[in-house]
Amino acid sequence: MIKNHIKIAWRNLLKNSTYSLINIIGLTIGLAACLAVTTVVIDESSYDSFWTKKDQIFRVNTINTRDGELLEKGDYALSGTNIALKDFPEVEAITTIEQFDTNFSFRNIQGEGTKTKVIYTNPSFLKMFDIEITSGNPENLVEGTLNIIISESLVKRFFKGRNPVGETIKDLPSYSNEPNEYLITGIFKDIPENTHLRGQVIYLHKPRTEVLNKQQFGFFQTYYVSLKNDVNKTKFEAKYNNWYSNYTEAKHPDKFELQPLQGIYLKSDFARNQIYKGSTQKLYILGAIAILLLVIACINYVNLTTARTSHKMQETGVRKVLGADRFQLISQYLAESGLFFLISGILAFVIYQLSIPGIVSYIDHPLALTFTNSALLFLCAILSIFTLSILTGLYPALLISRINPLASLRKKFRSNATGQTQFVRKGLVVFQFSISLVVLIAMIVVNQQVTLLKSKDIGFDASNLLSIKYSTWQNKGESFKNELLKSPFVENASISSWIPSGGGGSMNRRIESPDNTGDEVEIWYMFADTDLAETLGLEIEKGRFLSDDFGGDALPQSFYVEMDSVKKAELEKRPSLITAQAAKLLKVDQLNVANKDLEATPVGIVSNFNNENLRTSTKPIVIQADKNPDRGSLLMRIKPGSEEKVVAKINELWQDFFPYKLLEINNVSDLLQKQYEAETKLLQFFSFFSVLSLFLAALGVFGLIVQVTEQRVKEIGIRKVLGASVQSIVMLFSKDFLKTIAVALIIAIPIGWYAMQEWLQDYAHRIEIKWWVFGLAASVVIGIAMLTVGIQSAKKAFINPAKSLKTE
Amino acid sequence: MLLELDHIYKWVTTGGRRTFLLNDLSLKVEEGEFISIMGPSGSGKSTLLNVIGMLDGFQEGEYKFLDETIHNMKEKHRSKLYKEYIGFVFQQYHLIDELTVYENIETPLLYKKVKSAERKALVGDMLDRFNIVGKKDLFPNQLSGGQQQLVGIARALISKPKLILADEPTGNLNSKQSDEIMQLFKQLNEEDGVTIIQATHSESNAAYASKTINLLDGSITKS
Repeated sequence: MIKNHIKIAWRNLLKNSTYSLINIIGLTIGLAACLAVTTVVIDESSYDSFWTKKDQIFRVNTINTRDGELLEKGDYALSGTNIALKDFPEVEAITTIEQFDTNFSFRNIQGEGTKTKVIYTNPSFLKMFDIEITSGNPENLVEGTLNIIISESLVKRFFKGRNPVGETIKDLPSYSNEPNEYLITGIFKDIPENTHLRGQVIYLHKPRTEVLNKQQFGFFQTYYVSLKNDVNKTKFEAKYNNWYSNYTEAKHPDKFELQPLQGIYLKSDFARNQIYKGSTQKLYILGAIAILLLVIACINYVNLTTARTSHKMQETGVRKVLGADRFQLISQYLAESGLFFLISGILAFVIYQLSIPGIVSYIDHPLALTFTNSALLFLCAILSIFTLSILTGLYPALLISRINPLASLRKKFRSNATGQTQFVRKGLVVFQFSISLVVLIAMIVVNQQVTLLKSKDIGFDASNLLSIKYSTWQNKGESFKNELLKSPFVENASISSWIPSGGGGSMNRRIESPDNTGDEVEIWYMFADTDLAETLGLEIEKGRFLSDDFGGDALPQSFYVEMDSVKKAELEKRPSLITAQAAKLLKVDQLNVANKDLEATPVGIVSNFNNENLRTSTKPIVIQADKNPDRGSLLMRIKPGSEEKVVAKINELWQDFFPYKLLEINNVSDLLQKQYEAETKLLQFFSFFSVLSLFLAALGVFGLIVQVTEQRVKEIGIRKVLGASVQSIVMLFSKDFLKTIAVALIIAIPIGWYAMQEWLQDYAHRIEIKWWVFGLAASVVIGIAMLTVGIQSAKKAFINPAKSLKTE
Repeated sequence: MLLELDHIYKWVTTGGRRTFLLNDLSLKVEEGEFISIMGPSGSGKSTLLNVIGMLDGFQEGEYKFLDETIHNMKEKHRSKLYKEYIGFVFQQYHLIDELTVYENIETPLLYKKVKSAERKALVGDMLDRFNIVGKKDLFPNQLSGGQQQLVGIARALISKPKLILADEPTGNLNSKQSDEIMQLFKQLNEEDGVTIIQATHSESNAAYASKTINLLDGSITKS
């Protein structure tokens, strides 16, 4: 029986090739896209699930509140928290983790470096996270040198079978002047990629041992704590918070939260120090789109199959008369849908396999799990596709098998049953178009927002602005800068501890608002040499720029050493630039008057500029100058089109000044654009999927109109004999679809509007969704649908009625 | 007694008025009979066949098939009954376009869950008997009308029915093909003892039967 079913299904498939092709293309695309997106979703949600103690390990987050209101949450805690926590019996171990990239010269070739992901941590990390050491004994730190352990894959890549334990390698420093030497004390088995703690090198150091500062003052570090097996995390949190509030003498004691290891990757929007993080929101969007695409593809199948009911009804009637019961008929139609899903499934897997490199480059890291490398996932996918084929095939099967044999033999199948089918089918088309429309609206809005992010005036001109990465200058900064300024292409330069894209500033401070409302104003400080404002190209609105020509503008480095109350009072006299916004908020109307709260004396008011990115609003800023600053990035304003020459010049100078040091030059506008990578990727994603969903919807409409015009070919003939023009016939068919799309518009526009309005809330600078967005989306969808319907119905309308009427 | 219709009434209501399709119709059919039903278009020939074939119901009266009362039987039981005992032959042949001659004939056996080897033998016999072995792999649209009807009859016979219901079996055929089919029916009736009820317009076809019933406005007219 089954064999027979499949044989018939196969013949049907070949016989109705247009119908079959549309179905297979649609299902293949739907399935492949769904597999691809699901892979990403599975990968993202599998993060940090492989650690042995994943349920016991937590990150210590600090929550800074004022009167119950959340000010800030951070993925760090005050240094000394480790010492404090150690005394609690619930705590099993604690470690600090910092992540960064270092350029190591594994082959010890001068000037060569390989960018390597580093986990900077204490030896207790190894036990806590169950790192498998395959060689060496790294837990015992070797004194007097820097201890690192490296991954097996690095050993394979650089040491060719040799055991490098005990060898010393150098780095290509980007910060210090001389290369550092590291002793390899061990080898560890590679950590899987699906973790927020990615590292090819684990750099081990002794834990800091300072005592927790009672004034809530000091360094911050990122701590991971593992609790004993039976400890209730919530209770312990409360216990520790309680202890801390008694311990600290700070006015507003911080609160602490233990964040479960497995949630860290996805739920860390707040975490400034965390390099590798995903977003739950993104995951939801991805998941939703995967499901929607699949739904669209399945709707196509259902619609096309039910539209063919009239073709099937005679055959079904005969079968019934020949003794088929309903179950046998249903199973035959299910075999048919099974065959479609089988073919599409195979094709989808081929496409999926081919698209994995594309997915990897899109998400920018290797996939630990895919549907083709995990037997379990593969099986799940196969089972899901099978189930889907039954679910999808069931409605048409039920519908067709319900037919009364007598009526179907007499070809009178146009009564109530079709009315209901029509309704369901139209409903499904409405649903399909609503999805396409929402995705399309989302794409247009994201596109507009990305354009805004990339083109909005941020208060300074980011083009023709170069930067050298943050480094130490060994007292040679000033002379390096002066040498550089000799180039006719460099207009201005500044060594600054802040550059655009490098966070909000050098530090921030909360000052009570002079309104006496009790509100606090967040002020950002930037420390640089005297030339920062001019290099950025800010405009002076009042007063003057900072300048070395005025003796006291820049504070010497020595000033900070041994700070006392006298010096502290001195700070208030420090000449500073403030932005117009800061002046307004703090009601500074007179220049050259010391401002105690600000610890600054404004000498000039400069134009506002955006200090972070357009997700956040422009903040009030104070710019202060240090003399010959020893740490910082070098920011350069160059003449348009001279980038190559300037880069060459920098390289040349760098060789003279810092021969052992890594040089990294960036275009500031590139750095700024990079901040919007997530949005750009989202845009790519939406563009891709709106094209797909539109294509699928168009395919569905195409299939339907083919069926409808075939069914009504006689009607068309009669209408033509009665004098109907081709246009009027095209209109006849288009009208029906237009109505359907109109309903879809009514559904999709509010949903699209609401969803995108929500998305835009994340941005301080955001576009307004204008009515034309919906107009555009609507015209695209209507255009595509009408083109499909128009061409197909015109084709039928041109048929000579003598021919079409003869067929019966 | 194969079947007995007792005072059957069947009507449709249009615009509040009843139009009778079968009007107080009584009929007894013995096993081995060959009956022709004649009458003008709309006299109720097809309706009567459909009622006998249990494809259609009726409003009043009683219908017994092999001494079982049909009209208050459950659908499932009824369909089991007609699958077992009744074969249908149609004017439009109603072969399944997607299936070959062989598969068309085989289909009823599939639905009866006959084993593969037995199916092969039965279909083979049938092809032999109808002399269509050479056409077994052709599709219906590759056959002439007469050949298609031959396949239709072979298909009706494959499950060894007691009764064949033929609704204008030769209505789409020319007179030569028509005679052949009628000969076949006669032979089936006489040699295999299959009961046949056919509806027909043609006097000459009706003459093949052992008994003719004339129908007018849903009632049997005495002749």
